[in-house]
Parts: sequence; structure tokens; C-alpha cells
Amino acid sequence: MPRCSIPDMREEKSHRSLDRLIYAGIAPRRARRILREFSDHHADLVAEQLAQGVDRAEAEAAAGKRLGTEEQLVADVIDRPGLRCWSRRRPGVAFAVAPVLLFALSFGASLLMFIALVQWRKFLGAPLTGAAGTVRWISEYGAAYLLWGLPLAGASTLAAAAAHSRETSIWPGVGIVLICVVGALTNFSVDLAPLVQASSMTAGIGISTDHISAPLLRAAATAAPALLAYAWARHPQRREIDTLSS
Amino acid sequence: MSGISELLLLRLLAERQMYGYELARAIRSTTRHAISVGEGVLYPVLHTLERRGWLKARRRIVNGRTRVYYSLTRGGRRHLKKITLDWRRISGGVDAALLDPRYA
Repeated sequence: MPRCSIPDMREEKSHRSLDRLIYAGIAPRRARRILREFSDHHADLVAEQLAQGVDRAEAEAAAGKRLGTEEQLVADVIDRPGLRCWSRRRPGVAFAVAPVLLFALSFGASLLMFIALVQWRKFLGAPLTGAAGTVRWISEYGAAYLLWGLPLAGASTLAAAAAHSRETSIWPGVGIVLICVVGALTNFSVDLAPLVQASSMTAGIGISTDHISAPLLRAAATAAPALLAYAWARHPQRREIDTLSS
Repeated sequence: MSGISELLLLRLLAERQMYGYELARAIRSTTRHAISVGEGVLYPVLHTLERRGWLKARRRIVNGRTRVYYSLTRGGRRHLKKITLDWRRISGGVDAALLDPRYA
């Protein structure tokens, strides 16, 4: 038989307050800190009253009167737009523009890393053939990493971040699709000697009107897992929003 | 009321760093209990001031309990100077009106 004790009820209330703050756009860390400070203040007030010789019930009542209720605190915090995190004030930038730029930067940085590895081998005087370890690794896994791994990782990270901050707008979905579309438009290939005269590495971004289905399929294949995971994470959150607003 | 809380908090924190409960006590004693707002109101104000860069918060463990101590930043001191001057100008103006014998 489940029991409902006062501390449990208070904990549940605090959990509800935390959810309300996070859904309102307060950063989770700040929301936790505000509630923690409030609860510590309450404990200090109760201790102050107890030290004056009043009983616990009276001390709790006096502390509540001086401090106000947690609901008032939550309402007051929500009323201050300045306390909302940046991503909630500009969700389009935070969950669509910035992630796509970050993805493009990661793509470029990865390419630079590959080039640096190849140049390092060149500098050491090692042959740039398919037999060489680093070159073979780039040739075998580089394309999979850049064309599939990076868009998937970017979209999944965005989905996780949006779910963590309980973002309610459509922007995370837009961001996931954009990352995967941009990712699907990229290309990367390595041609190694002795199959060709001189080893070469090519990368770029673009779309061919003759082969439009392939990038579309790639975009769909990378976006689908992230979108599904995001929808799965958001489902219980939607129920929480209904509960909190009821 | 928010402007008054802001002014009082910055003024008190200009003296020394304090945590929420200490600040509430300091406000009550320095204003001779003239200002009595729900003490919970302090936290949204403190966090807003911190967000604007006028306060910085630091966790410290005191007697086994974690306290969040607030202190004024350089920007906070500049802002305090400005709002103190604003407050003096306004309260001086109100005083002048209240003490004007024509309206006494």
C-alpha cells in the first residue's frame, strides 16, 4: 500500500515546479539552483523560528508567511523574460541556424584533419598508397564518417539537446532536417594509387538534377532516426505539459 | 518594488558578499522593517542581476551546508552608482513636493 508522506509531497511539488520552470525556458541548472536556494531559505527561517522556542507547525507557518509560496516564486521567475535562456528566446537560431553552421564547421574541420594526416605522411616521406595505414583508414572509413556518421551524430546531438531543454517549438525538427539535407548534399571520395596514377582526395557540396533521389534518400535515412528519437523523447514531455497546464 | 529591491540588494552586497537568507535579514534590519515583501521575491531579482552581469554567485560550504554567496561585480558597482543617483534625484524631488508648505 503506497504511503503519502509530507516530504514526498514536497518533493513532488518541487519536481513539478522544476518542470514548470524548465518548460518556461529557464535553463535546467538555473531552475534547480533557484528552487534549492528557496528551499534552503525556508529551512533557515524554520530553524530561526524553532530557536525562538515555537513548535514546528508554527515555525513552518511563519516561515511560509515570510518567504511566500513556491508557486509564487515560480510565477515570479516565469514573469521575467530576462531569466529565460538564450535558446528559448531565439529558438530558430539556437536549434536551426547554429546547428547547421556547427555541422558545416565540423565537416570542414574533419576534412582539414584528413588533409593534415596525409600531409604528415608526405612530410615523413611515406608512400600515399592504399597500403598505408592512415591513408587506407581515410579511404575506408572517411566517407562513411563524413557522409553518414557526422550528419547522424549532429542530428542526434541536436535532438538530445532539444529534449533536455524541453524545447516545445518546431525548430529542433527543422534543424534536424536541415543538418541531414546539408549532410546529404556533401560528397567525399578518395582515389588511391596504384589504382590511379596519383592518390587524390575530393570533397564538396552540391546536387545533381540527374541523381536527385540518392541525396534525398540519404537525408531521409539520417533524419529519420533522430526525428524518431526526438518524437519518442517528446511524447512523455507533452503529457507533462498537459498535466502542468491543467 | 522591483527597482527598490534591486537598489537595496546592490547596496548591501557592495559592503560584503551574502547569501539569500542573510540578505533578507539585512534588508529587514537596515530598512527598520519598513520594507516587508515575501522574501522569496529576492531570488528572481538576484538571478536577474546575476544574468545582467552585475552580480556573481559562488557556492561555498558553511557548517556542512552549501550556500550561494552573491557579490558585486565591477559592472554592478557602476550600476549601483547610477541607480543611487537616480534614486536620490527622485526621492529628493518627492521630498521637496511633500515639504512644500503650499501643499502641507
